[in-house]
Amino acid sequence: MRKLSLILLLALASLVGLTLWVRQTYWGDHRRRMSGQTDLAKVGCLNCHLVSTASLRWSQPRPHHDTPAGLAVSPDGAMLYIALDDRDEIAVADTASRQVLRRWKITGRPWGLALDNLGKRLFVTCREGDRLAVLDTGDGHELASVPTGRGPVAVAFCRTLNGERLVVANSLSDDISVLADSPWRELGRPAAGREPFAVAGSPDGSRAFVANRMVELASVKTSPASELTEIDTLSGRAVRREALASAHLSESVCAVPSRSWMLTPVVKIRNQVPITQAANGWVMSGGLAITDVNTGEMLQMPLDEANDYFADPAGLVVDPAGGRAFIASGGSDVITVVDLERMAAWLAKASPAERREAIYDLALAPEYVVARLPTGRNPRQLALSPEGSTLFVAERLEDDILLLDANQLTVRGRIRLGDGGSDDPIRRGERVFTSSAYTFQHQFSCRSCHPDGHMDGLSYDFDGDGIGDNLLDNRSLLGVAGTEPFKWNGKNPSLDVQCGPRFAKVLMRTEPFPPGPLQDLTTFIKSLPPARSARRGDGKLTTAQARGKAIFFATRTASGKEIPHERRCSTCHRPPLYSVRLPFDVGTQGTSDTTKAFDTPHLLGVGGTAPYLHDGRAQSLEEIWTLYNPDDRHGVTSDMNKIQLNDLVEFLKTL
Amino acid sequence: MRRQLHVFLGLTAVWLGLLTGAGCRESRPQGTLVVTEVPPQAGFQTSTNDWDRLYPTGSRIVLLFPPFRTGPVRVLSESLVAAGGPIVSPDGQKVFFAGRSTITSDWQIYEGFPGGGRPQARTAMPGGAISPALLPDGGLVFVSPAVGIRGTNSGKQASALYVQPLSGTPQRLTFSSRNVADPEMMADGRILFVASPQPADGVPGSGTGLFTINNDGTEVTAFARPAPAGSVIERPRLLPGGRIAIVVAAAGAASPEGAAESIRLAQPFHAGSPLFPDAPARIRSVASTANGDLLLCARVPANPRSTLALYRVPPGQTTPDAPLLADPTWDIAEAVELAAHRRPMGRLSSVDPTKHTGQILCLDANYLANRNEAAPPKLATVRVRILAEFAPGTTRALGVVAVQTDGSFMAEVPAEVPLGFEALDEQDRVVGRQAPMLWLRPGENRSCIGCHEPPNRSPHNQRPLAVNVPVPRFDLPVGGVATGKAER
Amino acid sequence: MLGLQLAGGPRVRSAETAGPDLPFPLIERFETYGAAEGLPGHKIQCVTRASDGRLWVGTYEGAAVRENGRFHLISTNAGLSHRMVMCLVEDPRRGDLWLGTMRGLNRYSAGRITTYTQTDSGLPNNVIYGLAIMNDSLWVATAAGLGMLELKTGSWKIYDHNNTVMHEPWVYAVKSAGDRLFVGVWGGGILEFEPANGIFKEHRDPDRDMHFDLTPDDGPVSDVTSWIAWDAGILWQSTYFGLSRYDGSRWRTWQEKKSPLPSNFVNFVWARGPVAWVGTDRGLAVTDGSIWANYRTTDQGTGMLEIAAPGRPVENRRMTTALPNNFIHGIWVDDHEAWLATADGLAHAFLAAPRTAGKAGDAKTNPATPSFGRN
Repeated sequence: MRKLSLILLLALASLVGLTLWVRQTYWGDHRRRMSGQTDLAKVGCLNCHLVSTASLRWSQPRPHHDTPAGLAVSPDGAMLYIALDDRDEIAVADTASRQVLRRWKITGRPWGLALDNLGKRLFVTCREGDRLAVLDTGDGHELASVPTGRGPVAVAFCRTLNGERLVVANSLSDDISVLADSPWRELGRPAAGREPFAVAGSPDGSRAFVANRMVELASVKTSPASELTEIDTLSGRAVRREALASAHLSESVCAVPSRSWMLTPVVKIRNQVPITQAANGWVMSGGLAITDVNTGEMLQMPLDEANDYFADPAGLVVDPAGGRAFIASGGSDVITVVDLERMAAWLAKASPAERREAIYDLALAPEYVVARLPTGRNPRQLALSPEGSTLFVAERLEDDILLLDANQLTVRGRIRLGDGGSDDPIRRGERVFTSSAYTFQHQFSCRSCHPDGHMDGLSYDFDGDGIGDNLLDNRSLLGVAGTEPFKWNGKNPSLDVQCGPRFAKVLMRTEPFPPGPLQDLTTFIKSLPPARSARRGDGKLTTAQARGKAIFFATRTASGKEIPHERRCSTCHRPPLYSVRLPFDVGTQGTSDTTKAFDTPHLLGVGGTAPYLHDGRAQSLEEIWTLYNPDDRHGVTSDMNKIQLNDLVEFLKTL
Repeated sequence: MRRQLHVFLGLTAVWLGLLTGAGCRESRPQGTLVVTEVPPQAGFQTSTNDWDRLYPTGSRIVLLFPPFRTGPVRVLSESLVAAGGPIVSPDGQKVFFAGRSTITSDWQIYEGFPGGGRPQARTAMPGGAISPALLPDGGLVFVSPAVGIRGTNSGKQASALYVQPLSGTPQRLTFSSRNVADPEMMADGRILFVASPQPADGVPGSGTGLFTINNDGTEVTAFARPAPAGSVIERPRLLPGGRIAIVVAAAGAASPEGAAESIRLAQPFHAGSPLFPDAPARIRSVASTANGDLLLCARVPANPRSTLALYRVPPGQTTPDAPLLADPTWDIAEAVELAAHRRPMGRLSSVDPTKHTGQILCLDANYLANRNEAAPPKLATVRVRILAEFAPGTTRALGVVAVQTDGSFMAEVPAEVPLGFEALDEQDRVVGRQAPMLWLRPGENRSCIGCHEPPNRSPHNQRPLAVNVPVPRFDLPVGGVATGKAER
Repeated sequence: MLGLQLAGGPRVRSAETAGPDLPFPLIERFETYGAAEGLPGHKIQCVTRASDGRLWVGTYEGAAVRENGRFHLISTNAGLSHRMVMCLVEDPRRGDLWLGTMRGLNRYSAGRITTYTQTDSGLPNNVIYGLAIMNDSLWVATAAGLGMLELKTGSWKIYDHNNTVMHEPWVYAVKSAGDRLFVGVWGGGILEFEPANGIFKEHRDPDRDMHFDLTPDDGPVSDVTSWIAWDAGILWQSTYFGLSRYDGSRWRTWQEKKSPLPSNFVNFVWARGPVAWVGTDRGLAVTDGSIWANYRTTDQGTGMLEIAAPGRPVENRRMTTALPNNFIHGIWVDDHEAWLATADGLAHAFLAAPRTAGKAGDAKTNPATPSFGRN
C-alpha cells in the first residue's frame, strides 16, 4: 500500500514537474510563437482554440416578427400591401377596416414594393434573393421572378413610350437594374452610388431617381458625398449622378408633383470636424435635399431644430398636390410635416448664398415645418393613399401600420400585424439601437452611424485624447459577437463597456444607457449576423477564390521561403472568426496615433466594409497591401504578383 | 438572549422604516402647489442683494391644497426668517428652496419636507447660496454668493453657478466676472441661466443674457438674444411645447415684475413673443404644471396696489381668468406644482481634474456672420491674440497663435479663466475682437465656427488644417509676460 | 491659301470632290479642332463617338466631350486619374465611357468619374493602352497584362505571361469580336481568347523578324502589335513594321514600298466592314486590302490624296483641306464622317457618299471586294 502511494506520489510529482517544465519551456514559447505577441498577458488558450461560431448569438435561431418594410397602396386606396421581410410574407390589408385580409408567402426577404398603374401586379424586391418577384394582386400568384443585382431593396414602376419599366435599386452591388417588360428582363444595369436604397419615378415616367445610402469611398480627409442617380427609363441608362455633399443615409426619394423637385431626406454629416461637442449639429443633423430636375440645382434644407433633433430621417412622401411632404424620423418616432409652399417661398426670397448655407442654420426649419406628429417606435417607410388623405406609416418595431389623417394630421388608427415582440430581448434591443432618446437633444441613434447594424463608411475624429488628427474608421457591427475586445485600441473588453459610459461621454454626451436597455442593446448587436459575402450560392469557391484561400493560409511564400508565423494571414485572422482578438502592430501607426498595435478585426463580411485599417486610410482591400504594407508587417505580400493579390482579395470577399 | 435582541432590533428597524416611509408617502391631493408667500411691501426695496429684496423677512414657502382657499397652510420653511425660490424634484417628492435662518445669516439652500418637519440646510456656502435647481442625479445646482442679477458686487466675487453632488463638496461651474442667476434645468441636461451684461465687452446698452452650460461647467454658450438695454431677464422656466418662459423687467429697482415672454427652443435667438399680450407688465413668475397649465403670479391688473395673485392659465389661453388664489395679506410670488415632472437627461462630465488646461479649436477665424452675402468682405486674420481676464476688468494677453490658411487655429489655454480673442492682420492690427467671456474647464475641448458666428449654426464638414500642426500652449503670464509661443 | 480661319469655329478648308467608284467613301474635306476650339491639348491620342452622339476625345492634357458643338473638358480636376488619355471605349449597355490613361482607368458614368488604379483595385497596371467591352466585362490592355473587370461583381481577373501563352505582358490592344477577344501584345503578336472556355490561341509572326516580313502573308506582319481592329469577321493588326489582316483563315500583310501603305509605322487601325482606316506617321490610309486612298499633308501644308488601285496608275489629287498633322494616333469612322486624332489637332473628315453598290460597313452586302494582288 505504501509502495503504491509512493508510486502515485512520484507520478503526481512527475506530472506537476512536467507541467511546470512545459509551462516554463514550452507554454510561453507556444503562445508567443503562435500568437505573434510579445506581451503574453492577454494571450490565452481561447484566443485560438475552442472558438466556434455555432455558439454565437447570430448563428442561433431567433424569433421572427411581423415587421413592416415596404408599403404600397392600391390605386383605389382600398388595399395596403405590406412587405414583412422577417416573415418572408406580403400582408394585404383592408384600409377601411384596418384588418389584414391575407398573407402571401414569398421567399428572399421581401422589402421594396411597387404596384402597376392598375394595381393588378405587385412588384417585390427580394433583398436576399437577389430577384424581383411579380405577383398577381388577385391571388398573390407569382407571375415572374427576374434576377437583379445583389440586395435589391427598392423598385419603381414607370411607363414609357416603349413599354413598362421597373427600376430596381441593388443595395449590395451598387447598381441599378432597369427591367423591361414582355417578358420582364434586364434592359440595363447602370452604376449607382454606394448602396442604392430608394427609387422613385418622375411623374411622367421618363426618369427615375435613385437615392444612395452610403457615401462614396474617398480619402478619409476629404468631405464625403453620397449620390442621387438619375435614370433614363427608356434606355435604362444613368443620365445624371449628382453628389449630395456631406450627406448620406438617404432611404427615400420622392417627386413633388407640382414642381420640378425631387426630395431626398439626408443626414448631414460632420465627420471631418473633431467631435468636441454634439450641440449645434457638430456630429450630424437631419435635412432634406432638394434637386431641381430641370436645372440640376441641389439644395439642402434643415429638418432639425436648434435644440431638438429628429434623427434618422427615413421614409418620405409628398401629397398629390405637392403641398406637403411627410418625413419619418426613425430615431425620434416623429413624422415631420413640411409645408412645401412655405419652403418654396423662403427659397424664392433667399439669395443663392443663403440657399447654399441654409442647411447649416438650425433655426430655419420652423419657417416651413408645420407639424411634428408622434408615432410608435421606429417609423420607416411611408405611403399615401392616392388622393392623399391617409398617410400610412410603417412602425417597424411595433409590428403595425399607423394611419394618419394627412389633412387633419390626426390619428385614424392602426393596422396590427403582430404583437410588437416586446418579449424578445433582440427586438427590445433593436428599439434601443434605433432610438435617439438616449442622445443629447435626440441628435442620433446607434443606427445613425450603423445603419441596419452595419457601418456608414466614414472615419470620425473623436476628442478622447485631445483635439487632433485622430480619425478612426467606423467598424461594422455585423458579426461582432464573440470578437471582443472592441475599439481599435482593444480597450473595451465587452459590448457592455463599448456601449456604456465611454460611448455616452464621447458621443452621446448624455448619461449612459440604463442597465436594462443596455443589456437588450448588446443582445441585439450580438444577434446581427455578418454581412453577406460574395460566396457563390452553392458555397463553393471559384478557382481564383480557392487560389486566394491557399495564399491566405500559406506558410511559405511563392518562392518557397517560410513565412514567419506572426506574419501569416491566418495567425492573426484565424478562423472561424478570422480574428484572434489580440492587438498587432501591422506597421500602420500614423503620426498622431498613440499606439502601434491595433485590434485585429474579424473578417466575416469584410468585402463590404470598406474603407479599411484603423483610420480608414485604405479605400479597398488591395490598398491594404499595395500602399500600406511596405515592410511586410501586415502579412508577407511584397513578393506577390498582382494575380495572387487579386486571388487573395477574391477569397477575402467570400468570408 | 442575543438572538432575541437581534429580533427586537430588527423589528424596531422595520417599524421605524415603516414609520418613516409612511411619513414620506403621506398622501397629498393632486394639484398641491408649493408657493412662496411674501409679505406685501410698499415697493421694491433697495438692497445690495436681490434676494433680500425679493424675499424680505417673513417670506415663506407653503403648501397649498386644492381648492386653494386662504387660511391655514402647511409651512415648509418653518423656523426660517425668509425663504423663496422653491423647486420640486422630478419625482415630485422633494422640495428645495433658499432660506435664511436668521436675519443676519446668509441665504442657503434648504430641503423642505412636504410630509412635515423642519427644513434642513443642504448648503453652507460662504456668501450664501440661492436659486436652487436639481440635476437628474440629485445634485444641487445653485448660485453663490447670494448676489442676484440686479445686485451689486463691486469688489466681491461675481455670483457663480455651483453644483453640489449628493455626496461631495460644491464645484464651481462658471468663471466669468458676470453675475449669474436663475439656473433652470433643461430637458437635455444643460443648465439654463441668466448672466449680467459683460462689464468689459464695450457694447453699450446690452441687457442680461440667457446662457447654457453643461453640468460640469463646460461648453458655456449663449442661448438666446440678450434682453434690451435697461431690462433684465428673470426666471427662465421650461414650458410645454418647446418653449421657455422668461420675465422681462426693468433693470431699475422700481419693480421686480415685468412682462412674460416665451422663447421658442426651435428659434431661441428670434424675438420672444408675449405670453399674455393683453396683460399689463406686472408679472412676477410663470411656471408650468404637469398638464401644461401655466401658474402665473401677477398683480391684479386693475389694481396696481393689490397683492400678487396666483392664476392658473390653460394652454393656449393668453388672458388669465379669475385668480386661483388672491390673498390680501400675502404676495403670491411664485408657485410650482408638487408633482412628478419630466426628469432632465443626465450628462457625464468631460472634465479631467488632473489637467489645468483645455484646448480650443476655431474652424475659421475669418468667418463672417454676413457670409451669406454674394461677396462678403474678406477678413485677413493671420494671427489671433488670446486674452485672459485675471480679475474683473483686468485683461492681459496670453500670447499669439498663427491662423492656418483655412482660418483655423488651435491653442491649449489655462482652464477656468475668462478668455477673449483679438484677430490680427499681417500688420498686427486688430481686425476683430471678442472680450473675455468664455472659459474652459480642465481637459475641456472647445470648438467654435468662428468669431461672432451666427447662433445655432452647424459647421461645414471640412477638415481644419489646425489639427495637423502642433498645438501651442499658453500659460498664465507671470508678471504680465505670456509664455505662449506664436506658431507660424 | 487652303485654310480659312473662322472666328469661334473650326478651321474650315475647302471641300473636295468625290473620287471614282471605290469600295469606301473618300474624304471630301477636313475640319480641324485644337486648343482654340476648346480642346485641352493639341496632341490628340484617341477619339470615339458614343451611341448617344457625343464625341469623346482623349488628349495628352485630358479628355473632352463634344456636346451641342462645344467641347467640355474633363481633367484631373474633375477626377480623371491622369491627364494623358490613351484610349476610350463605350459600354453600350450602361452608357458609361471608359477612359484609359497613363496612370489608371476611369469610368465616366453620367458625369461622375470613378477611378481604378493598380494599387486600389485589381487592375494589372496603371498604363492602359486599350479597352474593350464584351457583354458585362471590361477588358483592359495594360503594360503588365490583360485585365478583365466583371462589371456586375467588381471582380478582376488578370491574364499575362504567368497564366496564359502570352509571350510578354505588354498588351497594347484588345478588341471584342463577338464571342471572342483579340489581344494585341507588343512583341507577342496577337492572342485570340475565347472566354467561354478559357482557351488562348496565339498568332505570331512565323518568321519572328521584327523588321522584315520575310514571308508575306504567312501570319502577322510583325509581333510588335500597336493596335488591332475587328469588324465583320475581319481582324486588322497595325504594327510598327506594317499592316496585317486576318479573315479567320488567311493572313495578308502589307509593308511600305511593297504596297501603297504609306509607312510601316502604323499606330492605329479602325475597321469598318471590310475596310481598314489606317493611321500612320505619314498620314491616313484607307483600304480594303486592294484599293488604297492615302491622305497626307505636304510640307507646305497642302492636303494630298493618293488613290492606288490595282491595274491603274496611282492618282494624286490635291485637296483644298488637309490633315492637321500626318501622325495619326486614333480614328473613328461611320458612314458619314471620320474623326482623326493626330499629333497636332483633331480632324473631322467629311465623307462623300459611297458610289459603289452596297453599303459601307456591311460586309455581308459587299462581300467581294476586288482583289488586285500585291503591288
